[in-house]
Amino acid sequence: MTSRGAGPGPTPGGERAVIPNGMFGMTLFVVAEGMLFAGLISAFEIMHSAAMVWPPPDQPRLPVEATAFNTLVLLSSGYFLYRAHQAFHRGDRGNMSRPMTLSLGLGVFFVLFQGFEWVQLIGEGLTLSSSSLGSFFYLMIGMHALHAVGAIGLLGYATVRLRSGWLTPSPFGAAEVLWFFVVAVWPVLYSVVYLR
Amino acid sequence: MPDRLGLATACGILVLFAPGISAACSVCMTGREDDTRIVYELMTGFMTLIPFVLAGGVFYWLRGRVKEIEARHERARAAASER
Repeated sequence: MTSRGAGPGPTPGGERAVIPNGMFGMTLFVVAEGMLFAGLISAFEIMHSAAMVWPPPDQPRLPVEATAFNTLVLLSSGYFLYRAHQAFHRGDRGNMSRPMTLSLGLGVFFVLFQGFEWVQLIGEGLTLSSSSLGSFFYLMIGMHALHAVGAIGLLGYATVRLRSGWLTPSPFGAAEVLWFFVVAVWPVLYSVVYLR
Repeated sequence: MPDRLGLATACGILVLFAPGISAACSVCMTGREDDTRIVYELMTGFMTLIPFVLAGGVFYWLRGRVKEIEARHERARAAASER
């Protein structure tokens, strides 16, 4: 993604990158995934409105309070990545390592805590086939978890490159776009799925 | 023989006057009840707007970035010409 600008640039035509290619590609991916989550939320809302009884009887209640804590963990992760973003754009790579590591660590905690919750819910009888709540819960939250795992992988890769001294805007931009997407979608999913 | 364009127009007008029949799931007939129909319509509006919001947001962000870069170039050009 380039624009024409005065003075020397990375190409003979004097074009400068508006945003790094990796970041642009990830943005397009995130827009498509946004539509996926919008469709899932839409289907859930319609199913919820058509249900005679909600939540379905004989199903365990979702752990609202524990997940509220986990939501704060994820939001904190996003905050620390933003701090790393600011340090990166200041050219202060020295002060990037700690916030990026914290962001990564909090993200890993979020996913592991979700997994622990799932194990408990499955033990209590909420499964993919037990009810419409179970189906949508594992589908929507599972899709988010899948994106979170991918984003953790990308963030981990960016952290390793930072520590090796060769983190460039493209991979870092891609990692932060995906992680911010994961962080931004979660409160919406939490309020739609858990707070009903 | 009836005019084809006229026939197509008449069919289109008939469809416009029959939303109550179409506002329901063809498998389970969910959507005939008022509450569910309202949610259907809201979600239809939501799904219609979301692509514009997402694409518009990306366009707005990129436009901001281009303006920022061009402003930086202008400042660099002005500084170079002063020297």
